[in-house]
Amino acid sequence: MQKKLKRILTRVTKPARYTGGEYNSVMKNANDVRVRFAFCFPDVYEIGMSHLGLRILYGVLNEREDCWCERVFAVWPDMEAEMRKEGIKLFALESGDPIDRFDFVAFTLQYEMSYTAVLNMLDLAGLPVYAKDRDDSMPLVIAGGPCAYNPEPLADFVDIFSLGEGEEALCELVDAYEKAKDEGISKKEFLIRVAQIPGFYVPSLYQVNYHPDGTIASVIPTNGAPKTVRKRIIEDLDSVYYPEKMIVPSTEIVHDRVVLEVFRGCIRGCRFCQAGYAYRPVRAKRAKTLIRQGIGLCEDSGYEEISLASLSTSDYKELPALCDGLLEWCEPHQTSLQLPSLRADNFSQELMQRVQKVRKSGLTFAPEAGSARLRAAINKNLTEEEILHACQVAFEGGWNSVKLYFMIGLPTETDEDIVAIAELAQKVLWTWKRHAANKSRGVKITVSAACFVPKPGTPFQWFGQNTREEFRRKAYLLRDSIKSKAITYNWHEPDTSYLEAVLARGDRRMSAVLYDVWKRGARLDGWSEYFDFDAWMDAFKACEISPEFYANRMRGREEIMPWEHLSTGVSRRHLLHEWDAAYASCISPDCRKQCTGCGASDLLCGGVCDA
Amino acid sequence: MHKFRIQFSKTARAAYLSHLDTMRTLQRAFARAKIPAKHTEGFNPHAYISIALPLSLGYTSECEYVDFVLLELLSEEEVLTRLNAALPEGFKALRAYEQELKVKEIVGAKFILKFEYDNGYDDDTVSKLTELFSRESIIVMKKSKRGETETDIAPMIYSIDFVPEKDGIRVLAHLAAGNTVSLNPEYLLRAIKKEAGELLPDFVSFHRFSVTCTDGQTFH
Repeated sequence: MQKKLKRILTRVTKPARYTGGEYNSVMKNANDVRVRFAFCFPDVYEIGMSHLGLRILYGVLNEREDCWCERVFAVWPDMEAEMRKEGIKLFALESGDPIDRFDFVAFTLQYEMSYTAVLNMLDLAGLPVYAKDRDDSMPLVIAGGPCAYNPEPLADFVDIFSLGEGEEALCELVDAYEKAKDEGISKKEFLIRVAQIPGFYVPSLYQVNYHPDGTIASVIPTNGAPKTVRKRIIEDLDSVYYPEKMIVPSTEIVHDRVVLEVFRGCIRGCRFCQAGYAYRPVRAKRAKTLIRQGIGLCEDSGYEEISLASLSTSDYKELPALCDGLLEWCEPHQTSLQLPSLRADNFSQELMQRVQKVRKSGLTFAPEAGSARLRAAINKNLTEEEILHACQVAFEGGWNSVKLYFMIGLPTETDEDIVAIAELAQKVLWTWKRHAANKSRGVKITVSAACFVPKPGTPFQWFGQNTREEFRRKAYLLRDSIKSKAITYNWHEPDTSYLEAVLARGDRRMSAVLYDVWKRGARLDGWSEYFDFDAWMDAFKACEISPEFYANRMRGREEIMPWEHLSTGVSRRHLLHEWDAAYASCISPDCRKQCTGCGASDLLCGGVCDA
Repeated sequence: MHKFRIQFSKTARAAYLSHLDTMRTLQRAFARAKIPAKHTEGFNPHAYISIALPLSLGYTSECEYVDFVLLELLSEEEVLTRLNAALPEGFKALRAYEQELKVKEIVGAKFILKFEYDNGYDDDTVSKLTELFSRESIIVMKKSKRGETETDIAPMIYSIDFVPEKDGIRVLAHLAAGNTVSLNPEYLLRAIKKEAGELLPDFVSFHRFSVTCTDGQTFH
């Protein structure tokens, strides 16, 4: 470790974030590999290390002898100040080497508010933030993750976007890179070539034209780039790589446990949910595979907690077999099993008791909307009876704390729908009064209301978000409608949700705003202590860009979206159908009941979705 | 039930792990190594271990001691082999044995400090430092259970030697440690800062190399 860094580490908070050397982190000899790959998470270590995708792709790339994938995280401002003062460039945790001479600098885009961290990390690495300013000797900057389905706000900064699941695509990219290196072709020629690999979007090869009213007139591919870039998926999750060894952080992280990915996709079709649309089609892993991987990971890591990850985990067909298989091992090994994502409707006492055998954790339900009518409009197909029955089962089983998650500002919402949230919470309280096994401990019902952010690739992508004033009015209305002291009410200021709405559906003109606000000091916008809303407003003003145009404007049905040339596999026709169904408060069946022909199954060779 | 103790070193990158992180790391390593150690009760059971003298963040050491109860007897070599295969970079289990001495018998710890002066140091720096620490009494503000108070740290310094070297000054310090009186080597720097600020080094690295008991013998 270099002397300057040693000195800094004794002065900053939580230095273990910056040192690497954890169990199972991969060390290689830099001289033995052809490709140095920096996997960057644009947030701090504790957040980034909790991300499963990082662990999977880290493993995939390091399986290759010719490639060394290392981790890089955003640094906390005290560390940044010290690094800039001492002239230390952003470095990779494994080798401690600065990343500005790596072959790839790759970012995962999990949430819009991390965009300024991407710029700041590039700058801290000593790289020009604008793609056009980086020469052929500098690393290729690539980015993937859920926000890559509309990556346009970052189009000026990133060379290549990767759409969809990366296990196979990234390896193809590395192969193409090695070939290009052998041939000695230029960066520009390489980018033209990459655009021909399915799933890779090279923004500099597309020309965007605008109408006088600011909407997009056309997106024109150049240099033979495809008209539409479609996301990549892994067809068979049982045979695809899954890490057998996971890095075990020595310092505490947010999700500090073994994580098993049960399936990808979701059968539900909630109209607000980007993940539910972007991760289609449904593909499940066999319980047998998961049990083997879960036990292996616990034994190898020393973790004494295991968690199942997926959207709507209780929709997993083999869930009972999986729980039985894991618990059979967990109980004698003093390991606890967590099921984080359960739906209230098929919540059974039996399943609850199974999990409870090892550990009893809090209960969380997400009705999302207060009234049956609005739940139909957003296609959250969950009845009040189901919610209350699930709560009853929970209270009878000894739980005395329930969290209920809602959104405000949903399409078609009226004030009656807001008041219905309070009424639903009140009914949960009555259910407790009637059914609690032990009333002496009291009950805690928490109602959390988030401000709805319309996301690209969903049926609500056309929706004009509520203004901040409207959000506040609704939040106060809800607060005033809650009467009982047993109900705790949480809500967030709409400022972040407003910016998320701007960035989520922003076009490439947003790059100027990102640059400007970063220059004004924005770098960790996900952290309230470093989030400065006024700086963002100043940046919009300086760039003469109206945030309302992006956040609050209702889009026309025919409007060309900034991401129109990028595809999740779900057709525009299907999204429009669902958009109309919402305004008719009409429910669409889940994929298991009846296929709605969203188009995502075309991504599979066989064309049959495993819903 | 066998009361066991492991002596381990904590160096390189591991120096930047806090005491709590060190505990967590050892507990996980125990689980990986399948050491049949007694576990804690409760919802999050884990190996019940205790570390004799917590080490400050950023320090390296070759004399860390962790105590635990073995539920079935393993040979000392077996414990060492298994644990070393399971420990992350920077940790090394050096010895494993049944406990003999009690942790409360600890009264001192020996450190090597390396004083680094970026612009070199004067010829008389060593003699001035030696003079400073040979005084009858050295008063600094020191944290105690009742908050910061003026404390004479001279009695807590059993011995201290300054050795001039090409790239700095090596300091060998034997200081009070343990439950009753304890002196963190940081206070040596506080004393220098207060009494002779011009002698303060630009950077200091800390290494603990021995822990001692009442009669001067090395703890083990």
